[in-house]
Amino acid sequence: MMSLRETLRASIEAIATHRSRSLLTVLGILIGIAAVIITVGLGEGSQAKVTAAVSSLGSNLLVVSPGSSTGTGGVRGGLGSASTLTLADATALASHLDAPDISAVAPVVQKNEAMSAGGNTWSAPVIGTTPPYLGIRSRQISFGSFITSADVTSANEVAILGTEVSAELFPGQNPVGQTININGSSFSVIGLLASAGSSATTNQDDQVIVPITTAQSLLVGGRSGTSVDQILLQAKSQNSISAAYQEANALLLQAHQITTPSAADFTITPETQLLTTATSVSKTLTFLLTGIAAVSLLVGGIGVMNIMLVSVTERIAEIGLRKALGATPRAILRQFLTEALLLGLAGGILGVVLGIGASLIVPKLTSNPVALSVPAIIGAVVVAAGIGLTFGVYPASRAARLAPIDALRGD
Amino acid sequence: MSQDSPVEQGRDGRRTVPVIEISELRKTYGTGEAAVEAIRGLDLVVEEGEFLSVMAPSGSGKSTLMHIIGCLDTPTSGRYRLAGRDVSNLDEAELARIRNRYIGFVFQQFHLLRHLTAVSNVELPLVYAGLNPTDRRVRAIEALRRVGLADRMHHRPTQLSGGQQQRVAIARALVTDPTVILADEPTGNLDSASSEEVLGWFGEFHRAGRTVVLITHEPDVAKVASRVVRMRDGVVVGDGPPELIFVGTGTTFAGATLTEQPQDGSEPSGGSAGHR
Repeated sequence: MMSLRETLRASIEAIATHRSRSLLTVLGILIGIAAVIITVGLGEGSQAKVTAAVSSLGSNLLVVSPGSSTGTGGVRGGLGSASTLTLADATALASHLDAPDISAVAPVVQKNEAMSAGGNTWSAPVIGTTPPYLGIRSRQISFGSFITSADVTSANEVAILGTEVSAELFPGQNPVGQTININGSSFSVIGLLASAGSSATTNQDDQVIVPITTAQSLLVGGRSGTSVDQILLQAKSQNSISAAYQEANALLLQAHQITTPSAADFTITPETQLLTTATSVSKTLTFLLTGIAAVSLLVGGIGVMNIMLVSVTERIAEIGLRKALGATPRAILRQFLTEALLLGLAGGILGVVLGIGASLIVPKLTSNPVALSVPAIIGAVVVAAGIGLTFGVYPASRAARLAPIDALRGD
Repeated sequence: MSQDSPVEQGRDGRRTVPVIEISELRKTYGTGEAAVEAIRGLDLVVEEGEFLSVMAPSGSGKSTLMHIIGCLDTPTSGRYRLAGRDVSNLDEAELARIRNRYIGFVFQQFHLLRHLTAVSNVELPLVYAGLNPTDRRVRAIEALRRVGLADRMHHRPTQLSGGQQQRVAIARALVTDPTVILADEPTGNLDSASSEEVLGWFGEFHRAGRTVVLITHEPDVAKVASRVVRMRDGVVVGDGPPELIFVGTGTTFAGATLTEQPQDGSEPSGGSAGHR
């Protein structure tokens, strides 16, 4: 019986003898494995990015929007189209007695406004809200202070700037203590928000925050003085999101005097749902890309089979001779399987090297992060070896089955 | 050359079991209408130490017989005993082991592996015999030394002449110390000088007591043996010492069907094994 070492040596000899052919075989696997590593990495990277972006919006967050998402009869407008939410609703929701699982409430009105300071002008969303907003949105103040309850009560003309607004209006200066003009009114800047980067949809640094009452009276023209665009709710904990949802829903139905829950003129969206939607999109995309990469790996495997079949045909005389000299069918089978396994393994290892290299370069060329996972890399090498082995079975068994006399007649 | 009567005695002087014992051998290729009977009831006994040549024109079942004697193929019917063991109905793996242990092949096209050195080529049968690398190397070098190629052991086949390549192949056939050296047209691809040299080696092995079966279609090659079996259309049509088989021109068939057993004391003709 031929030992494993002998088999390995004979296989390496054969691979080394047909260097360019072996290289081409390996190439198919190599590209497939590298493609899988990059796509999986891209998928995991973008998933992590989405998760981070969504959680930067605030934790345990619920968003109450006016209008109904269930309305299809044409009676009610779409989501956010009606102004059915008021400051009174926000106050009701903030009651710890009626809504014990809601820890913080911040009503929000928002409008894009032109603004100026000194000779600089800029245009940015102006958000009117209340002090809890800062905590709900997980924002920080880097200079000065945030709006206070007193600011809200007396509708003070104070503003907190995002870093980008500050950079546009007060380049190179600390804006705190300065004055800006928004829509014809003067606001004194009392604070600067710490940079929070971009979320999935909005640039969180390109904002101005003012007390909600000020916004309602000075900026949001035409509308009823008490309607709000959104009410942000923060649940006490991850586990109480569902309870907070129920409490908010019940409170608002009661406040709006609606008896059938399906007729609600507001919509409450938990942040988790946002997260689920976003991740499921990126998961689908990853799945699709990985599928394509897997197909390329399959093609690589078929390439191995193809080349192995050519190899068997080309080496018929060698196989015949080995058999004549005493190689059993099993010994021949093992030799060709070992060759296929080695080709697959080499393709896998080189593919991993290429994949790692690419995942270091791709983030520098695009903004897409690539996450490398060790299990995925080990898995890729194992899969590559497995593909070599699987697609080597047919050629190897053909070689093993060759009758020695037919094989010796080969040339 | 008095030792050239090996029928009565083996190497140790005792009468032994015949090395090759074939009776009523038939081999049919294909089935039904298309069936071709390549061997039609052939009997052959080869004693240990004999130097036998099977001479036959192509298409006479010569290759088929060689394949069956070499355990590369199995007979359709009949019995074949190799060194006393019935090998007529063995499976592929068992036949492989039998070939490895009992048969040393020498082919017309040498069949050396191009990517291996001479010594590695000689080692091949020992690899399949499961010998360890050190012993393999020692025995392969010894075999190469016997055919005078020890100084070329690290050459690849392409760096050797045809005659040298065939000598490497002969070393490979010898290295397992086989019961039978089976040579199929060993001089077919060689010039006359190399042919004489190669045939000389077979004569040497014969004198050293080995059993050699040489298969050829050339009378000039066949007659170096001490016994010639003529074959035609799948049956034996002549069997005897070359001087009886080749009467007159040495290339025409004598016609007489001679005894099945080679005769005692038959001396090979002057041309046989005469390359000292």
